[in-house]
Amino acid sequence: MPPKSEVLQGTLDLLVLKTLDTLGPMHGFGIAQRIQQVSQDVLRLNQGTLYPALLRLEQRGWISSRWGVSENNRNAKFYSLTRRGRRQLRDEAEGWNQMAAVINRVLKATS
Amino acid sequence: MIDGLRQSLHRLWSLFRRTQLDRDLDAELRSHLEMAVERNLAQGMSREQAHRKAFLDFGGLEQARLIYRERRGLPFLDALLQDLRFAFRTLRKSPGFTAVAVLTLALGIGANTAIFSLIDAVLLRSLPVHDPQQLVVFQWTAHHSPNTKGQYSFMSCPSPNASTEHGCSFSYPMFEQFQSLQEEFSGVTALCGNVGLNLRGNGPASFVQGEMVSGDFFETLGIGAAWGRTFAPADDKTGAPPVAVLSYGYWQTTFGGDPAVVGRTIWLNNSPVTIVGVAAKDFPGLDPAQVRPIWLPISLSQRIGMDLFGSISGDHPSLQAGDDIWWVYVVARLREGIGLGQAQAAVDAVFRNDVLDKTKELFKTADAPRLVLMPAPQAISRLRERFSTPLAILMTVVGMVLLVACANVAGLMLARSATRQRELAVRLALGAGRKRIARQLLTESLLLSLAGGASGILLAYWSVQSLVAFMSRGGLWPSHLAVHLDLRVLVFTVAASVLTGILFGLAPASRGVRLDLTPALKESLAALATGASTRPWLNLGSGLVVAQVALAILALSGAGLLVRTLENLKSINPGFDTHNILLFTMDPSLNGYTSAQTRSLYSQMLQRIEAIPGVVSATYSFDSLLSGNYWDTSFRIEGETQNTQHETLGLAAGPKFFETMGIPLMAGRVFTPQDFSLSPDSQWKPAVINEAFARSFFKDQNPLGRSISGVGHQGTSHQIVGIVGDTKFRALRSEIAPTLFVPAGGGEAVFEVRSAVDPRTVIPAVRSIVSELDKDLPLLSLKTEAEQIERSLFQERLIARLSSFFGGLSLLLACIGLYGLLSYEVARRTREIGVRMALGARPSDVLRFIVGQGIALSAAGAVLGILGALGVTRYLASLLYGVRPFDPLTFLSVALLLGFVALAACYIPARRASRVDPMVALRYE
Repeated sequence: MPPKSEVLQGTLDLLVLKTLDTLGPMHGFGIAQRIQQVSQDVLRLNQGTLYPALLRLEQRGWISSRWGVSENNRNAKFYSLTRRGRRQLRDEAEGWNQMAAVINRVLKATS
Repeated sequence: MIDGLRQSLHRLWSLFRRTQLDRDLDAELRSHLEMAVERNLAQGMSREQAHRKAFLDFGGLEQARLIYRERRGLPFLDALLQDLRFAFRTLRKSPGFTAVAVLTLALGIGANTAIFSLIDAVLLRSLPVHDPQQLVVFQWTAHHSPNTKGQYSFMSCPSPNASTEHGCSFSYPMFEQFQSLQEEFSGVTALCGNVGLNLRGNGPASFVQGEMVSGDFFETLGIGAAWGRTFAPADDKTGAPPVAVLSYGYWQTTFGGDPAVVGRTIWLNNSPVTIVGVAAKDFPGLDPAQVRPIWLPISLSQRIGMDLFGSISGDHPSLQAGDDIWWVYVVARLREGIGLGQAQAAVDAVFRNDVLDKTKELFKTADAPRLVLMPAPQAISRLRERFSTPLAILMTVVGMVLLVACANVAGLMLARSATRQRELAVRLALGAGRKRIARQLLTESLLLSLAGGASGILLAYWSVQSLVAFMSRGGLWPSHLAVHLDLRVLVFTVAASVLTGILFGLAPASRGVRLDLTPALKESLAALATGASTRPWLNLGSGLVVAQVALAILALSGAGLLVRTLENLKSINPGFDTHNILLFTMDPSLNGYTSAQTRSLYSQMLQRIEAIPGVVSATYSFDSLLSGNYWDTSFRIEGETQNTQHETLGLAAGPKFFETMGIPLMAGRVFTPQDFSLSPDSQWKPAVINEAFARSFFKDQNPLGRSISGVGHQGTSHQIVGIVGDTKFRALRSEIAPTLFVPAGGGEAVFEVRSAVDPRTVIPAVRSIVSELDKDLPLLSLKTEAEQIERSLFQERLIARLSSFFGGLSLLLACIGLYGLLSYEVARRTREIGVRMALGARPSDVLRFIVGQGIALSAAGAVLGILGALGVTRYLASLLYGVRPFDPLTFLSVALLLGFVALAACYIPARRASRVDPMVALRYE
């Protein structure tokens, strides 16, 4: 079984990909905001860890980045999903759903 | 997989844009925080609160940056670069240590690579022919020499074992019989070397030494033509048009590589010969030790007046026909699928059948004559013979230098690591990973080794160039022989030094990471100096120094013996005055002079040369003394009861030979002008002998007036008319031997001109005299007698010089090692010394204490080294002259030399120690 951080990391990747899929090109702060909003502050995201995650996704070629101007006229780096990233999101979301379903079934069976 | 590659590339790319990316990240993080602050302000927080909240939400800013950076680059490579930068800085901070370590390594690597490259060039390279393993050389062995009129040998013929007679020359008729063995061999070819040729038709008259070969020579060896063609068997038929093939090098140097040379006619010994081609570029001759400028078919040997046996015999025996003149060297190529043994059985049968023939009686059955086939690469080994001893000695010595160099670097590393304990402890305390520190130390030692290796390559390149230049000047090195840096040995030596670096770089690393922090940080002497952890390392350091000294002593002892040999040889009295003699060689017979014409030419030359101002007297002889050439003849003494054959060295000497050479007359008379005007078939001929001849053959009888007979090929008789003083003849090393002097006839001769001035200054006058008499006569090998002797000692000088250079080098390295160890000791024990001095020790006590320690170490090394030398120097015995392998004087002087150098190496750190101010030392903590 992989260590805990790995799972969290994988989860963070999935959240970021999904966020970019929904919002389109977005900067780091925006992504962090969105994840916190959607999870209704259940996930306390340490924003600092977001950037290494973004770099990792970019190194894998799932997202790309480009400097742009924010809605408040501020310079910011905008990240957007690549085609490979979209495919990856689909695969990972599927995998996640399957896993969740399995875990749910297991939990139900024991209770 | 591809994913992984993409990531790696991405990361690698990042390494080169570090600053740009750092700036990028900072901008991104700043923009994030500003947006966060803005939002917080919008939610109604105060400015201060807004900032605080933004930072809190973000988490550790520095931490994020660190993780990001690590994620961005290749962490391993990143760290490596960092390590390298750091190592570079540290090494630059101690330039002394770095310089010594790099230089030491460079010397070890460079010297070994250079010497091994030479070995590779001469000893390990194969013959320059196609498929040399299939080539065989014919050799005969027997209990006694064959009953021939003459044997001529000119190529190497290694002895199968010491007790049997052997040779590699055969008669021409026998070679023709070998040629008929077509089932065993795809080609059988004969060659005969070093035929003197006076060449006309290409600028001024010059002299070359050619090789006579049978028609299938090039075909059998598998050598093609670079231009034109090589010989065909038809060229070697009697009556075929005379042709010649040039070697590529000779074509380039003498004919300027002119393609029109093919078809041109040149005159060799007054005989027109047409050049038909140039042999392949990489073929200097069958034996790489001897470059052949020109090849001629063997059938031309009569026409060009080939005279194998010198002027003593006067006329040429009929070479082709004779069964009893053995003069061709036979090489054959085994037919595919034929084993060496099978071929040997066939040739042996042919050979025995021929030589045991009753009518010829070349051998008796009891002589057990046999024919042996030797693989050509083993048989043709003149280079190996010439160089194997000096190169083996040099390889041993430079091997020792490499060992000393490695030990030295190891010692330096150890001492250095000990002084760095505090630094390592600080870095550990600040949270550096132990692995990381080990890696850092390793990087440092690898960097050192690589720098040493790189300088070593430069040094090797330079030393190969200068060694080859040095040996070419001495005429020892065939100039066409290219030397390439040997990659294998370069890899080996660099690997050896890198391994040393790793090994001893790791030693401090393993100690560094095991370090107990507290005492190291305090650098308390009580804990460090007496601490058990330090002791073994120090002992290892001492051991390394002892080993270095021992190796240096070993190398120096060998070098000392060789130097003394050289000195002994130089101080030999050869029995004649070697100063102010000019030598040059001529052979008018090659230009068609008869014996009588030559004699008259020579007497005119002598007359005119003696008239040159500054010339005292002039003469000629068949060989010159100490040239390495000599004539060996048998003779009988008339009136002896048993008709025994004796052997003596012989020399045909011209008028005034003994006066000119400064050889004293002991009894009787020397040759008079009348002796030289005797007709060649006069019954009476005079002879002069040396004292050794009188002692050996006449004991207490008076030799004057006695007659000897059977001298030379023609078996002439001579009456002894005089006795002269003994001289060295063959070589300085050889014992004084019985020598017989007879009046020189007309033929090839070496002229000896004694002058009152520098003999080189009379050369132009001599040249113009000869060209006035005959402009087509070349003067050969102009040199002075002193130069000839110098050259004969070249190998001794080379070995003595280089081995003492490398021996001295290893001594220097060993003393640097000693110095390093003691310096470290003094630095480490400063406090202890301070305490001692505070307690009343005087500076002189301290001085004595430290010097004593150094001397003890070098004495231990010296004893070990001398013991080792006693076991090893006997292998040098065959090279030594006038000194025994266990020469106590040499050992003593080497030990004294070591003592002085070691004392100097100890004195500097000891002086530093004696100047320790006790107050400073005690307050140091």
